[in-house]
Amino acid sequence: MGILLSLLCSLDVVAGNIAYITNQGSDSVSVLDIENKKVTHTILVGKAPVGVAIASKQKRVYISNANSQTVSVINSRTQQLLQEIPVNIQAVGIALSRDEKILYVADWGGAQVIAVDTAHPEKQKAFKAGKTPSGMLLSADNKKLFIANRDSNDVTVVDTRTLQTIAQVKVGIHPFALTLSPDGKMVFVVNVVSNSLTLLNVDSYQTSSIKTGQHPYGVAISPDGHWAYVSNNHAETVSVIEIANGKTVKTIDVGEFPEGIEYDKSTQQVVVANWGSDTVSIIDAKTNTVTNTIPSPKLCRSFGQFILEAK
Amino acid sequence: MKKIFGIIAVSLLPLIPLTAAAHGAAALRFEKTVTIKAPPAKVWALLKDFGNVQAWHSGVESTKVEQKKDENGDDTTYRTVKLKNGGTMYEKLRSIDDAGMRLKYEYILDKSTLQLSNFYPTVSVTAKGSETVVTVKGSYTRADSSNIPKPEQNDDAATKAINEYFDPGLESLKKVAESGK
Repeated sequence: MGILLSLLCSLDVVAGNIAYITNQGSDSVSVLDIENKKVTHTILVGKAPVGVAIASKQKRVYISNANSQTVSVINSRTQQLLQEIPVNIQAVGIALSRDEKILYVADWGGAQVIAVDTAHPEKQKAFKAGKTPSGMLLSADNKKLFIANRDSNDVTVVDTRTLQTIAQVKVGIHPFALTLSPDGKMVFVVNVVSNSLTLLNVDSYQTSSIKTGQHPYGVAISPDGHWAYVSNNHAETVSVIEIANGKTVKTIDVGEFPEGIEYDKSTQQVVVANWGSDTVSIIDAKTNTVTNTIPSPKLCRSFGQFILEAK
Repeated sequence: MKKIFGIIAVSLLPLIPLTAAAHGAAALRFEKTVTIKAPPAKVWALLKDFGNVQAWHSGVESTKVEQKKDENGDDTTYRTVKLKNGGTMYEKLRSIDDAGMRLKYEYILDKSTLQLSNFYPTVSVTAKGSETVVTVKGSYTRADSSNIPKPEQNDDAATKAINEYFDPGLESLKKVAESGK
Protein backbone atom coordinates (compact mmCIF):
# COMPACT_ATOMS: atom_id res chain seq x y z
CA MET A 1 0.00 0.00 0.00
CA GLY A 2 2.70 2.46 0.99
CA ILE A 3 4.68 1.80 -2.16
CA LEU A 4 1.59 2.16 -4.30
CA LEU A 5 0.73 5.46 -2.66
CA SER A 6 4.20 6.86 -3.11
CA LEU A 7 4.01 6.02 -6.79
CA LEU A 8 0.63 7.65 -7.14
CA CYS A 9 1.46 10.79 -5.23
CA SER A 10 3.96 13.36 -6.26
CA LEU A 11 6.56 14.17 -3.66
CA ASP A 12 6.31 17.93 -3.75
CA VAL A 13 6.23 19.52 -0.34
CA VAL A 14 3.65 22.16 0.45
CA ALA A 15 5.25 25.22 1.99
CA GLY A 16 2.15 26.95 3.34
CA ASN A 17 -0.83 25.86 5.38
CA ILE A 18 -2.61 22.70 4.41
CA ALA A 19 -6.28 21.76 4.69
CA TYR A 20 -7.02 18.06 5.03
CA ILE A 21 -10.34 17.35 3.35
CA THR A 22 -12.02 14.04 4.20
CA ASN A 23 -14.01 12.55 1.32
CA GLN A 24 -16.59 10.30 2.94
CA GLY A 25 -17.85 8.91 -0.36
CA SER A 26 -14.50 7.99 -1.86
CA ASP A 27 -12.58 6.83 1.21
CA SER A 28 -9.86 9.39 0.69
CA VAL A 29 -8.35 12.59 2.01
CA SER A 30 -7.50 15.52 -0.26
CA VAL A 31 -4.45 17.54 0.70
CA LEU A 32 -5.31 21.14 -0.15
CA ASP A 33 -2.53 23.71 -0.46
CA ILE A 34 -4.55 26.69 0.77
CA GLU A 35 -2.30 29.43 -0.56
CA ASN A 36 -2.11 28.00 -4.05
CA LYS A 37 -5.67 26.69 -3.89
CA LYS A 38 -4.61 23.37 -5.29
CA VAL A 39 -5.05 19.76 -4.23
CA THR A 40 -1.54 18.31 -4.17
CA HIS A 41 -2.25 14.77 -2.97
CA THR A 42 -5.13 12.39 -2.56
CA ILE A 43 -4.57 9.77 0.12
CA LEU A 44 -6.58 6.58 0.42
CA VAL A 45 -7.69 6.02 4.02
CA GLY A 46 -10.33 3.87 5.79
CA LYS A 47 -14.01 3.64 4.90
CA ALA A 48 -16.11 6.81 5.16
CA PRO A 49 -13.54 9.23 6.59
CA VAL A 50 -15.11 12.09 8.52
CA GLY A 51 -13.04 13.80 11.21
CA VAL A 52 -9.58 15.32 11.27
CA ALA A 53 -7.13 15.93 14.13
CA ILE A 54 -3.81 17.61 13.43
CA ALA A 55 -0.66 16.67 15.35
CA SER A 56 1.75 19.34 14.19
CA LYS A 57 4.60 18.34 16.53
CA GLN A 58 4.38 14.70 15.50
CA LYS A 59 3.91 15.64 11.84
CA ARG A 60 0.88 13.41 11.82
CA VAL A 61 -2.73 13.81 10.84
CA TYR A 62 -5.36 11.53 12.35
CA ILE A 63 -8.50 10.76 10.34
CA SER A 64 -11.60 9.11 11.82
CA ASN A 65 -13.25 6.55 9.55
CA ALA A 66 -16.92 5.97 10.44
CA ASN A 67 -17.58 2.82 8.43
CA SER A 68 -14.31 0.93 8.84
CA GLN A 69 -14.38 1.97 12.53
CA THR A 70 -10.73 2.91 12.40
CA VAL A 71 -8.40 5.89 12.59
CA SER A 72 -5.98 6.47 9.71
CA VAL A 73 -2.63 8.06 10.47
CA ILE A 74 -1.05 10.23 7.78
CA ASN A 75 2.50 11.51 7.69
CA SER A 76 2.03 15.23 7.02
CA ARG A 77 5.50 15.66 5.49
CA THR A 78 5.22 12.93 2.87
CA GLN A 79 1.38 12.83 2.77
CA GLN A 80 1.48 9.07 2.99
CA LEU A 81 -0.69 6.74 4.97
CA LEU A 82 1.30 5.27 7.85
CA GLN A 83 -1.15 3.16 9.75
CA GLU A 84 -4.78 2.33 10.38
CA ILE A 85 -5.78 1.94 14.02
CA PRO A 86 -8.85 -0.19 14.79
CA VAL A 87 -11.13 1.48 17.35
CA ASN A 88 -14.26 -0.62 16.75
CA ILE A 89 -16.66 2.29 16.96
CA GLN A 90 -18.25 4.57 14.35
CA ALA A 91 -15.49 7.11 14.63
CA VAL A 92 -16.65 10.65 13.87
CA GLY A 93 -15.43 13.23 16.37
CA ILE A 94 -11.69 13.18 16.97
CA ALA A 95 -9.39 15.43 19.01
CA LEU A 96 -5.83 15.42 20.32
CA SER A 97 -4.45 16.35 23.69
CA ARG A 98 -2.25 19.46 23.53
CA ASP A 99 0.89 17.33 23.99
CA GLU A 100 -0.40 15.01 21.23
CA LYS A 101 0.04 11.98 23.46
CA ILE A 102 -3.64 11.09 23.63
CA LEU A 103 -6.12 10.89 20.82
CA TYR A 104 -9.80 11.05 21.76
CA VAL A 105 -12.24 9.32 19.43
CA ALA A 106 -16.00 9.68 19.95
CA ASP A 107 -18.32 6.71 19.50
CA TRP A 108 -21.20 7.91 17.34
CA GLY A 109 -23.04 4.63 17.83
CA GLY A 110 -22.86 4.76 21.61
CA ALA A 111 -22.27 6.99 24.59
CA GLN A 112 -18.55 6.77 25.09
CA VAL A 113 -15.24 8.20 23.97
CA ILE A 114 -12.08 6.16 23.46
CA ALA A 115 -8.74 7.54 24.62
CA VAL A 116 -5.94 6.20 22.42
CA ASP A 117 -2.28 6.36 23.43
CA THR A 118 -0.71 7.73 20.24
CA ALA A 119 2.67 6.13 21.01
CA HIS A 120 1.01 2.74 21.56
CA PRO A 121 -2.30 2.86 19.66
CA GLU A 122 -3.32 -0.59 20.87
CA LYS A 123 -3.61 0.93 24.33
CA GLN A 124 -7.13 2.27 24.44
CA LYS A 125 -9.47 3.18 27.22
CA ALA A 126 -13.17 3.98 27.00
CA PHE A 127 -14.91 6.52 29.18
CA LYS A 128 -18.42 7.86 29.48
CA ALA A 129 -19.93 10.61 27.34
CA GLY A 130 -23.54 11.64 26.58
CA LYS A 131 -25.59 10.12 23.78
CA THR A 132 -24.08 10.20 20.30
CA PRO A 133 -20.90 12.08 21.16
CA SER A 134 -19.80 14.18 18.19
CA GLY A 135 -17.37 17.11 18.16
CA MET A 136 -14.70 17.35 20.84
CA LEU A 137 -11.98 19.77 21.88
CA LEU A 138 -9.39 20.26 24.61
CA SER A 139 -9.18 23.37 26.77
CA ALA A 140 -6.07 25.47 26.16
CA ASP A 141 -4.53 24.16 29.41
CA ASN A 142 -5.39 20.60 28.38
CA LYS A 143 -7.20 19.98 31.67
CA LYS A 144 -10.68 19.58 30.19
CA LEU A 145 -12.15 17.72 27.28
CA PHE A 146 -15.42 19.15 25.93
CA ILE A 147 -17.71 16.69 24.16
CA ALA A 148 -20.82 17.75 22.20
CA ASN A 149 -23.46 15.03 22.65
CA ARG A 150 -25.80 15.22 19.72
CA ASP A 151 -28.64 13.17 21.14
CA SER A 152 -28.57 14.24 24.77
CA ASN A 153 -28.47 17.93 23.86
CA ASP A 154 -25.59 18.72 26.17
CA VAL A 155 -21.85 19.09 26.44
CA THR A 156 -19.91 16.76 28.70
CA VAL A 157 -16.84 18.22 30.37
CA VAL A 158 -14.28 15.54 31.23
CA ASP A 159 -11.26 15.82 33.53
CA THR A 160 -8.45 14.67 31.25
CA ARG A 161 -6.43 13.36 34.21
CA THR A 162 -9.11 11.03 35.59
CA LEU A 163 -11.40 10.71 32.55
CA GLN A 164 -14.32 11.40 34.88
CA THR A 165 -17.21 13.71 33.97
CA ILE A 166 -16.92 16.97 35.87
CA ALA A 167 -19.85 18.80 34.30
CA GLN A 168 -22.78 18.19 32.00
CA VAL A 169 -24.00 21.43 30.43
CA LYS A 170 -27.34 21.75 28.61
CA VAL A 171 -27.05 23.46 25.24
CA GLY A 172 -29.44 23.62 22.25
CA ILE A 173 -31.02 20.73 20.35
CA HIS A 174 -28.51 18.41 18.68
CA PRO A 175 -25.12 19.99 19.39
CA PHE A 176 -22.63 18.73 16.81
CA ALA A 177 -19.42 20.62 16.09
CA LEU A 178 -17.52 22.90 18.41
CA THR A 179 -14.51 25.16 18.42
CA LEU A 180 -12.53 27.18 20.95
CA SER A 181 -12.19 30.96 20.96
CA PRO A 182 -8.63 32.17 20.19
CA ASP A 183 -8.21 33.37 23.80
CA GLY A 184 -9.24 29.92 25.04
CA LYS A 185 -12.06 31.26 27.23
CA MET A 186 -15.13 30.21 25.27
CA VAL A 187 -16.35 27.08 23.55
CA PHE A 188 -18.65 27.64 20.57
CA VAL A 189 -21.11 24.83 19.87
CA VAL A 190 -23.46 24.60 16.89
CA ASN A 191 -26.94 23.28 17.67
CA VAL A 192 -28.20 21.63 14.50
CA VAL A 193 -31.93 21.60 15.20
CA SER A 194 -32.15 24.81 17.25
CA ASN A 195 -30.41 26.77 14.47
CA SER A 196 -28.18 28.37 17.05
CA LEU A 197 -24.69 28.72 18.40
CA THR A 198 -24.06 28.23 22.13
CA LEU A 199 -21.26 30.21 23.74
CA LEU A 200 -20.05 28.16 26.69
CA ASN A 201 -17.62 29.62 29.19
CA VAL A 202 -14.70 27.23 29.73
CA ASP A 203 -14.44 27.98 33.46
CA SER A 204 -17.92 28.92 34.70
CA TYR A 205 -19.91 26.81 32.19
CA GLN A 206 -22.32 29.72 31.78
CA THR A 207 -23.98 29.79 28.40
CA SER A 208 -25.59 32.21 26.00
CA SER A 209 -26.78 31.69 22.47
CA ILE A 210 -26.80 33.29 19.04
CA LYS A 211 -29.05 32.59 16.06
CA THR A 212 -27.53 31.00 12.96
CA GLY A 213 -28.86 29.91 9.58
CA GLN A 214 -30.65 26.61 8.97
CA HIS A 215 -29.06 23.44 10.37
CA PRO A 216 -25.62 24.71 11.44
CA TYR A 217 -22.94 22.01 11.11
CA GLY A 218 -19.67 23.80 11.71
CA VAL A 219 -18.18 26.95 13.21
CA ALA A 220 -14.87 28.81 12.88
CA ILE A 221 -13.76 31.89 14.75
CA SER A 222 -11.57 34.68 13.34
CA PRO A 223 -8.17 35.05 15.08
CA ASP A 224 -9.22 38.39 16.61
CA GLY A 225 -12.21 36.65 18.20
CA HIS A 226 -14.71 39.05 16.61
CA TRP A 227 -16.36 36.92 13.95
CA ALA A 228 -17.98 33.53 13.84
CA TYR A 229 -18.30 31.76 10.52
CA VAL A 230 -21.06 29.16 10.62
CA SER A 231 -21.75 26.60 7.89
CA ASN A 232 -25.51 26.22 7.47
CA ASN A 233 -25.90 22.67 6.25
CA HIS A 234 -29.45 23.08 4.93
CA ALA A 235 -29.16 26.59 3.58
CA GLU A 236 -26.12 26.26 1.29
CA THR A 237 -24.65 29.24 3.08
CA VAL A 238 -22.10 30.45 5.60
CA SER A 239 -23.27 33.03 8.15
CA VAL A 240 -20.80 35.69 9.20
CA ILE A 241 -21.78 36.64 12.75
CA GLU A 242 -20.47 39.48 14.88
CA ILE A 243 -20.00 37.69 18.17
CA ALA A 244 -20.29 40.78 20.40
CA ASN A 245 -23.88 41.47 19.39
CA GLY A 246 -24.96 38.19 17.77
CA LYS A 247 -25.85 39.89 14.49
CA THR A 248 -25.40 38.14 11.17
CA VAL A 249 -23.63 40.69 9.02
CA LYS A 250 -23.46 38.61 5.90
CA THR A 251 -24.81 35.35 4.50
CA ILE A 252 -22.49 33.90 1.89
CA ASP A 253 -23.66 31.38 -0.70
CA VAL A 254 -21.44 28.30 -0.80
CA GLY A 255 -22.06 24.73 -2.04
CA GLU A 256 -24.71 22.28 -0.91
CA PHE A 257 -24.64 20.77 2.58
CA PRO A 258 -21.61 22.73 3.82
CA GLU A 259 -20.04 21.08 6.85
CA GLY A 260 -16.39 21.39 7.93
CA ILE A 261 -15.27 25.00 8.24
CA GLU A 262 -12.05 26.56 9.47
CA TYR A 263 -10.30 29.91 9.42
CA ASP A 264 -6.84 29.93 7.88
CA LYS A 265 -4.76 32.53 9.69
CA SER A 266 -1.93 32.75 7.17
CA THR A 267 -4.08 33.70 4.19
CA GLN A 268 -7.10 35.13 6.05
CA GLN A 269 -9.43 32.80 4.27
CA VAL A 270 -12.20 30.52 5.43
CA VAL A 271 -12.20 26.99 4.05
CA VAL A 272 -15.55 25.17 3.80
CA ALA A 273 -16.18 21.58 2.68
CA ASN A 274 -19.47 21.16 0.79
CA TRP A 275 -20.69 17.58 1.29
CA GLY A 276 -23.52 17.94 -1.21
CA SER A 277 -21.58 19.45 -4.10
CA ASP A 278 -18.22 17.68 -3.76
CA THR A 279 -16.44 21.01 -3.59
CA VAL A 280 -14.46 23.16 -1.18
CA SER A 281 -15.31 26.87 -1.02
CA ILE A 282 -12.61 29.37 -0.20
CA ILE A 283 -13.92 32.59 1.34
CA ASP A 284 -11.79 35.71 1.52
CA ALA A 285 -12.37 36.86 5.11
CA LYS A 286 -11.44 40.45 4.25
CA THR A 287 -14.32 40.79 1.81
CA ASN A 288 -16.48 37.83 2.92
CA THR A 289 -16.85 36.60 -0.63
CA VAL A 290 -16.13 33.21 -2.19
CA THR A 291 -13.01 33.52 -4.31
CA ASN A 292 -12.52 29.88 -5.30
CA THR A 293 -14.48 26.66 -5.51
CA ILE A 294 -12.27 23.61 -5.67
CA PRO A 295 -13.54 20.15 -6.63
CA SER A 296 -12.91 17.38 -4.11
CA PRO A 297 -13.94 13.74 -4.44
CA LYS A 298 -17.29 12.53 -3.21
CA LEU A 299 -19.02 13.74 -0.01
CA CYS A 300 -16.30 15.91 1.49
CA ARG A 301 -16.73 16.78 5.17
CA SER A 302 -13.61 17.70 7.19
CA PHE A 303 -15.23 17.53 10.60
CA GLY A 304 -13.11 19.15 13.29
CA GLN A 305 -9.97 21.28 13.10
CA PHE A 306 -8.44 20.33 9.78
CA ILE A 307 -5.82 22.95 8.93
CA LEU A 308 -2.14 22.21 9.49
CA GLU A 309 -0.17 25.40 10.01
CA ALA A 310 3.20 25.54 8.31
CA LYS A 311 4.96 27.17 11.22
CA MET B 1 -0.99 9.62 30.91
CA LYS B 2 0.49 6.72 32.85
CA LYS B 3 -2.44 6.85 35.21
CA ILE B 4 -4.90 6.53 32.38
CA PHE B 5 -3.34 3.63 30.61
CA GLY B 6 -1.50 1.94 33.44
CA ILE B 7 -4.49 0.14 34.89
CA ILE B 8 -6.47 -1.25 32.01
CA ALA B 9 -5.59 -1.02 28.37
CA VAL B 10 -8.86 -2.14 26.87
CA SER B 11 -12.29 -0.58 26.47
CA LEU B 12 -14.17 -0.65 29.74
CA LEU B 13 -17.66 0.18 28.61
CA PRO B 14 -19.82 -2.06 26.50
CA LEU B 15 -21.13 -0.52 23.30
CA ILE B 16 -24.49 0.94 24.13
CA PRO B 17 -27.04 0.76 21.33
CA LEU B 18 -29.29 3.78 20.99
CA THR B 19 -32.99 3.45 20.55
CA ALA B 20 -33.46 7.08 19.54
CA ALA B 21 -32.95 7.84 15.90
CA ALA B 22 -29.61 9.48 15.58
CA HIS B 23 -28.03 10.93 12.52
CA GLY B 24 -25.90 8.14 11.04
CA ALA B 25 -22.22 8.69 11.23
CA ALA B 26 -21.97 8.75 7.47
CA ALA B 27 -25.09 10.21 5.86
CA LEU B 28 -26.03 9.11 2.37
CA ARG B 29 -26.88 11.39 -0.52
CA PHE B 30 -30.05 11.07 -2.51
CA GLU B 31 -30.90 12.58 -5.87
CA LYS B 32 -33.55 11.72 -8.44
CA THR B 33 -34.87 13.63 -11.41
CA VAL B 34 -37.71 13.26 -13.85
CA THR B 35 -38.34 15.22 -17.04
CA ILE B 36 -41.96 16.05 -17.72
CA LYS B 37 -43.63 17.34 -20.86
CA ALA B 38 -45.81 19.89 -19.11
CA PRO B 39 -45.42 23.51 -18.03
CA PRO B 40 -43.41 24.07 -14.82
CA ALA B 41 -46.33 25.91 -13.19
CA LYS B 42 -48.58 22.90 -13.61
CA VAL B 43 -46.03 20.52 -12.11
CA TRP B 44 -45.24 22.90 -9.27
CA ALA B 45 -48.91 23.33 -8.42
CA LEU B 46 -49.11 19.58 -7.80
CA LEU B 47 -45.94 19.37 -5.72
CA LYS B 48 -46.42 22.43 -3.55
CA ASP B 49 -49.83 21.23 -2.37
CA PHE B 50 -48.36 19.77 0.81
CA GLY B 51 -51.60 18.12 1.96
CA ASN B 52 -52.48 16.43 -1.31
CA VAL B 53 -49.73 13.95 -2.20
CA GLN B 54 -52.31 11.44 -3.45
CA ALA B 55 -53.04 13.84 -6.34
CA TRP B 56 -49.76 12.90 -7.99
CA HIS B 57 -48.26 9.86 -6.17
CA SER B 58 -49.91 6.60 -7.21
CA GLY B 59 -48.76 4.83 -4.06
CA VAL B 60 -50.40 7.30 -1.69
CA GLU B 61 -53.85 6.72 -0.21
CA SER B 62 -54.37 9.96 1.70
CA THR B 63 -52.65 12.96 3.31
CA LYS B 64 -53.67 14.67 6.52
CA VAL B 65 -52.25 18.06 7.43
CA GLU B 66 -51.94 19.54 10.91
CA GLN B 67 -50.49 22.69 12.44
CA LYS B 68 -48.29 22.32 15.49
CA LYS B 69 -45.41 23.95 17.29
CA ASP B 70 -42.13 22.31 16.35
CA GLU B 71 -39.20 21.54 18.69
CA ASN B 72 -38.15 25.19 18.57
CA GLY B 73 -41.65 26.43 19.40
CA ASP B 74 -42.32 27.70 15.87
CA ASP B 75 -45.72 27.21 14.20
CA THR B 76 -45.18 24.46 11.69
CA THR B 77 -47.14 22.37 9.20
CA TYR B 78 -46.91 18.59 9.46
CA ARG B 79 -48.50 15.93 7.29
CA THR B 80 -49.30 12.27 7.71
CA VAL B 81 -49.06 10.45 4.40
CA LYS B 82 -50.86 7.10 4.34
CA LEU B 83 -49.51 4.72 1.74
CA LYS B 84 -51.61 2.18 -0.14
CA ASN B 85 -49.26 -0.57 1.06
CA GLY B 86 -50.15 0.25 4.66
CA GLY B 87 -47.10 2.39 5.40
CA THR B 88 -47.07 5.83 6.96
CA MET B 89 -44.82 8.83 6.46
CA TYR B 90 -44.87 11.71 8.94
CA GLU B 91 -43.32 14.84 7.53
CA LYS B 92 -42.60 18.41 8.57
CA LEU B 93 -42.78 21.27 6.11
CA ARG B 94 -39.64 23.35 6.31
CA SER B 95 -40.14 25.89 3.55
CA ILE B 96 -42.01 26.59 0.33
CA ASP B 97 -40.36 28.99 -2.09
CA ASP B 98 -43.13 29.69 -4.56
CA ALA B 99 -41.13 31.99 -6.83
CA GLY B 100 -38.16 29.63 -6.92
CA MET B 101 -40.45 26.55 -7.08
CA ARG B 102 -38.63 24.84 -4.26
CA LEU B 103 -40.09 22.81 -1.39
CA LYS B 104 -38.17 21.56 1.63
CA TYR B 105 -39.45 19.11 4.19
CA GLU B 106 -38.26 16.58 6.74
CA TYR B 107 -39.20 12.94 7.18
CA ILE B 108 -39.65 12.00 10.83
CA LEU B 109 -38.88 8.36 11.54
CA ASP B 110 -40.43 8.25 15.02
CA LYS B 111 -43.96 8.42 13.60
CA SER B 112 -43.32 6.69 10.26
CA THR B 113 -42.78 3.21 8.90
CA LEU B 114 -40.16 3.61 6.15
CA GLN B 115 -36.85 2.59 7.66
CA LEU B 116 -34.67 5.60 7.06
CA SER B 117 -33.86 8.61 9.18
CA ASN B 118 -32.72 12.21 9.00
CA PHE B 119 -34.18 12.52 5.55
CA TYR B 120 -34.36 16.16 4.46
CA PRO B 121 -35.56 16.34 0.87
CA THR B 122 -35.61 19.40 -1.33
CA VAL B 123 -38.00 19.19 -4.26
CA SER B 124 -37.31 21.66 -7.03
CA VAL B 125 -39.00 22.39 -10.34
CA THR B 126 -37.10 24.00 -13.20
CA ALA B 127 -37.95 24.79 -16.79
CA LYS B 128 -35.86 23.15 -19.47
CA GLY B 129 -36.91 24.37 -22.90
CA SER B 130 -40.53 23.41 -23.28
CA GLU B 131 -40.19 20.70 -20.63
CA THR B 132 -39.95 20.63 -16.87
CA VAL B 133 -37.34 18.95 -14.70
CA VAL B 134 -38.25 17.87 -11.21
CA THR B 135 -35.37 17.11 -8.85
CA VAL B 136 -35.63 15.56 -5.43
CA LYS B 137 -32.41 15.65 -3.47
CA GLY B 138 -31.29 15.42 0.10
CA SER B 139 -29.37 13.54 2.69
CA TYR B 140 -30.54 10.58 4.75
CA THR B 141 -29.21 7.97 7.12
CA ARG B 142 -30.06 4.47 8.15
CA ALA B 143 -32.68 4.03 10.87
CA ASP B 144 -30.35 2.18 13.24
CA SER B 145 -27.34 4.34 14.02
CA SER B 146 -25.67 1.79 16.29
CA ASN B 147 -22.25 0.41 15.43
CA ILE B 148 -23.70 -2.88 14.20
CA PRO B 149 -27.07 -2.00 12.65
CA LYS B 150 -29.91 -4.47 12.27
CA PRO B 151 -30.14 -5.66 8.62
CA GLU B 152 -33.65 -4.22 8.21
CA GLN B 153 -32.37 -0.82 9.39
CA ASN B 154 -28.98 -0.57 7.69
CA ASP B 155 -27.78 1.70 4.86
CA ASP B 156 -29.06 -0.63 2.14
CA ALA B 157 -32.49 -0.87 3.74
CA ALA B 158 -32.69 2.92 3.91
CA THR B 159 -31.72 3.29 0.26
CA LYS B 160 -34.24 0.64 -0.75
CA ALA B 161 -37.03 2.37 1.18
CA ILE B 162 -36.34 5.72 -0.38
CA ASN B 163 -36.15 4.27 -3.91
CA GLU B 164 -39.36 2.31 -3.47
CA TYR B 165 -41.18 5.50 -2.54
CA PHE B 166 -39.75 7.92 -5.08
CA ASP B 167 -39.32 5.76 -8.19
CA PRO B 168 -43.03 5.06 -8.69
CA GLY B 169 -43.90 8.48 -7.26
CA LEU B 170 -41.96 10.47 -9.84
CA GLU B 171 -43.26 8.19 -12.57
CA SER B 172 -46.85 8.83 -11.59
CA LEU B 173 -46.17 12.56 -11.19
CA LYS B 174 -45.05 12.58 -14.81
CA LYS B 175 -48.18 10.73 -15.91
CA VAL B 176 -50.51 13.00 -14.00
CA ALA B 177 -48.80 16.20 -15.12
CA GLU B 178 -48.69 15.11 -18.76
CA SER B 179 -52.33 14.05 -18.78
CA GLY B 180 -55.15 16.25 -20.19
CA LYS B 181 -55.94 18.80 -17.51
